[in-house]
Amino acid sequence: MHIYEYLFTAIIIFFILVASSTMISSMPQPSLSVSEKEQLKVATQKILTQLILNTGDPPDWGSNTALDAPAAFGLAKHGETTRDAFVLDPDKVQRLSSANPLYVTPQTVANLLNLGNDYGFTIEFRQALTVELEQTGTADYNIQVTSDQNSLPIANVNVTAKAFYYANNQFACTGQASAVTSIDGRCSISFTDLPQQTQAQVLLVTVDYYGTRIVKTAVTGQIEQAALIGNHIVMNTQPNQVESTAHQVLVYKTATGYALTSVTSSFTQDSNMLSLDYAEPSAVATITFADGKAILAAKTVPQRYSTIPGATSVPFAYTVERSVTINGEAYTLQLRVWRMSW
Amino acid sequence: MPHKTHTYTHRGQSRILEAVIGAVIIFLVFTASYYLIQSSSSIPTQETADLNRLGYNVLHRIVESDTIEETLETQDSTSGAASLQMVVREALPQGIYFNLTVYNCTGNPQTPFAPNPVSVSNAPEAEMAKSKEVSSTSTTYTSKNGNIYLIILKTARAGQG
Repeated sequence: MHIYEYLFTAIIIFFILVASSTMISSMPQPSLSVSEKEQLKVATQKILTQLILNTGDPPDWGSNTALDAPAAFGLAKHGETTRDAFVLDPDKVQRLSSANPLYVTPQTVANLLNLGNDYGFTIEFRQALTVELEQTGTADYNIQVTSDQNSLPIANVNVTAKAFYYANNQFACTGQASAVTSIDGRCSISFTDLPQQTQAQVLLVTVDYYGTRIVKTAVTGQIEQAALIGNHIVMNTQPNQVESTAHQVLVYKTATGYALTSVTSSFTQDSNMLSLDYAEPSAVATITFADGKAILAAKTVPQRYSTIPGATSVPFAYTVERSVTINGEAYTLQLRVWRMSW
Repeated sequence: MPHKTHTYTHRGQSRILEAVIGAVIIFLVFTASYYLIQSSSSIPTQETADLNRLGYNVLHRIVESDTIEETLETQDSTSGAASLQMVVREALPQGIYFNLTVYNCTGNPQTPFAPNPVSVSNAPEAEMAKSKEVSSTSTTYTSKNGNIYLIILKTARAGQG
């Protein structure tokens, strides 16, 4: 065997080794990349399932004012006998609102979901329909209903409204008014029995689009907003003189549409907290009167809850959406999850 | 001597040929493995699973909110179908094609695929058929008026065709 044959064989073997090592180092990259993306998807689905189908621990942690945070996190509504899927507990959801005195921080939730510092997330709650209220006169309102996806007007939406007000320190309400949106998504509602002068008034509007329900409120006059947590009204400051009763505003479905009404409840006061004797399940708000102004306590659903406040978009995030029901209203819950490092 | 030299030359050439063939085989094996690993991505399976979950979520919303009663049972078939299409479109995220078919199998649940079902869709003609993955979810629903429906929702991601 001549020397050039050895040299030629050595060169071939060298090239084989170089080609092999290059291929071996580049081969796992696509599968690794796919695996990481799949891992993010699976993690997102698991988080979503935990959020919307698990009640958390204890199951009533949202309305338990003694608890700063639950032992396990979940937003599903707890029922003693049956439990609906995709129905969220409004008391748990409003714990995600920074305006709530018992706010649970995103970092606490991330730790409860065992995400640590590996993942970041954003939860967005969007009402299934966009409803805009515009007061055009003392007792006249324009209502516009549009799609939350493309802002197109929605026709044939049933609108039911009622005004609850204080006049001469007395609680009263108007008759129920109804309308149907036209092709431009608009309709008007007028109350003939609303006094010209009121101390405070709360307009309650329920829109129903073939079963999709949205409730909106509009307030005018001397009104202070308060949080409604379970059967507790939590005010910002301790009131001096409070009306002896509170009025729970109910919305419920009847054979012909929706009924908007109120029931009177008694309560006990402890500092800035009023504890109602009984909270109606279908109550959407509670109104009382203290120190010359009305107190409107409602369960607020936050629009956005994120481990990175203010960030509107995050690269390489995985997003899932689900239709959920909160306090009888249709919402779209959007969960966006991303890895903090790749 | 010339005969010996000739034999050595042949042996040397055959070894070079062996080395070249070996290199080519190794190269082909690595190339084949590379493309096999790339194409065995599990994305499609996961996508279908996502669409299935989404489909059941939307079906749940339709049947829980009395949408069938308020569309197909209280309106004529044309306007009822148009209203139903709008409700489903609002319930699904953007970028999802759907095809919802409602079979009224009242009185004949053994053969649920009754003729003339109500079918609504937001997908362009034949777009669903061209999609790589189509999820199909179904449920049976008894309305408050006692009618029994088989509802089938097919979903696909837009832009996959």
